[in-house]
Amino acid sequence: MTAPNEGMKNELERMSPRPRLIDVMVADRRDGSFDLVYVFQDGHGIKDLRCVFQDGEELESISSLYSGALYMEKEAAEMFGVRFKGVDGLFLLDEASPKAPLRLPRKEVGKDG
Amino acid sequence: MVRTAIVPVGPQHAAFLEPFHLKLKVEEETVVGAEMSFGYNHRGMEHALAQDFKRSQYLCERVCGICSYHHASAYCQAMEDLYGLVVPDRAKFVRIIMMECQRLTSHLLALGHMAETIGYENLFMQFFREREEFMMLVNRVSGGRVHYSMNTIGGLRKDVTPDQLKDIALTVDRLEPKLLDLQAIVRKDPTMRKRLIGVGRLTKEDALDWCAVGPTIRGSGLEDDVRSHGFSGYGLDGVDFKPIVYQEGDCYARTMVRMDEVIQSLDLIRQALNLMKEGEVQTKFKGNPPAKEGYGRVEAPRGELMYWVRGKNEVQLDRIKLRTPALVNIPAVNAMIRGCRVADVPCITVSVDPCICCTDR
Repeated sequence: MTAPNEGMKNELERMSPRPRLIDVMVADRRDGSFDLVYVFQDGHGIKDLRCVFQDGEELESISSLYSGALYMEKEAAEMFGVRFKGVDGLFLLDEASPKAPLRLPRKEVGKDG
Repeated sequence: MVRTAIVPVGPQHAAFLEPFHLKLKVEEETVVGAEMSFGYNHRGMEHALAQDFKRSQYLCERVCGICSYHHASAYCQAMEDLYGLVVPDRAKFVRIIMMECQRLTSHLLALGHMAETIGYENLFMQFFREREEFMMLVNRVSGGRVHYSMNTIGGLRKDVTPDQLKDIALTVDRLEPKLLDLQAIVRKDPTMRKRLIGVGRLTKEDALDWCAVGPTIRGSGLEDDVRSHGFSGYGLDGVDFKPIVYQEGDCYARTMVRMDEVIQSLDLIRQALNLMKEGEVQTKFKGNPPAKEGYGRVEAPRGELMYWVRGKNEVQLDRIKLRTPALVNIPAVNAMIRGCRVADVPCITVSVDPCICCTDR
């Protein structure tokens, strides 16, 4: 099964020279899906690559391309309860912490579009 | 046959100002690998900051006490990007002055910390003596030594007075010769050189691989500094800035980047004082943050600090994300310590100026 961010990872593999990775971010869309955003240095500005994925889908890790991405992915995984292939273990939380603390309540249809 | 042993360092350790844990894998005296544990100081700041966008302009300063004003500046820039606000030039110049003052307090702390780590107590005290002068200066200007609370979305809460600007200029002039003396010591002193040269090397390739920023990446020969991208007032006409870069990638190079940036900060403060003119310091805005996104980036003392905000037409924010420089610089220690001596681990760790408040948030 293809991971939702596989195309983005392939695009990164083809880039030469590879741009400086600034961050890997996840945001809850409050409808059972999430945004995955990679932010890069682009000249004097930034550019981002993004995709939407559904709760429960497993994402490709880019830690094989950027070692520094591992801790960014670990943080996203534990804060939102999402999964990256080969990324496990706790980073900022401990066993007794609330699970996926940054997940938001589901959107009420028709209330806030 | 050499056996691999595990040496725990931290979470409480004399060389670390804050708690984090290193599990070193060693073969005799040589470090062959390390595991890191964080989270001892996790406070859920991203959740708290999303609760009220106005309150967050003060709360974000509480993420870290060393680069508090940079957090406030990055947050305000992200919100200004989201609202599409243009900040008055005078406010941008005041932000430059205060960010450079805070860089001075942070770098002098890091340099003092490095001196203490290598056992050079006298130099540690000299760095902290000069740092205290800047701490008192920012207290006189802002009313706080740690949290300045001067920024607001759209500019500044209130203008600085002519007397305060004169005070800043006089302090910079008075302290410059003392800081130049300290720079000469760091550059020439045999203790510093012997203890730091060739230790904890980070190559250019490794710096990019580990996404390092700030003095850590500039000490590895890469000209990466958000100030050269022209954010805030750094892009205004007349501001002359060039990143300080050292090629060697060792602890000494990272220390020298900070030392030279101390002198550069004095120059940037003078430039801002000379270029700023009378005028407004705040652009007003109305309403709750719209359902858009905004980025804010500043060059904090430890490197690039980025805020990403997403509004939803309410007081609450839909998402706020902080990428602090320590979050990427501390893991880069993994690449620096392989092959080093156990006794060099504190120096290497301190050379990236680790901030656990920023990492854990």
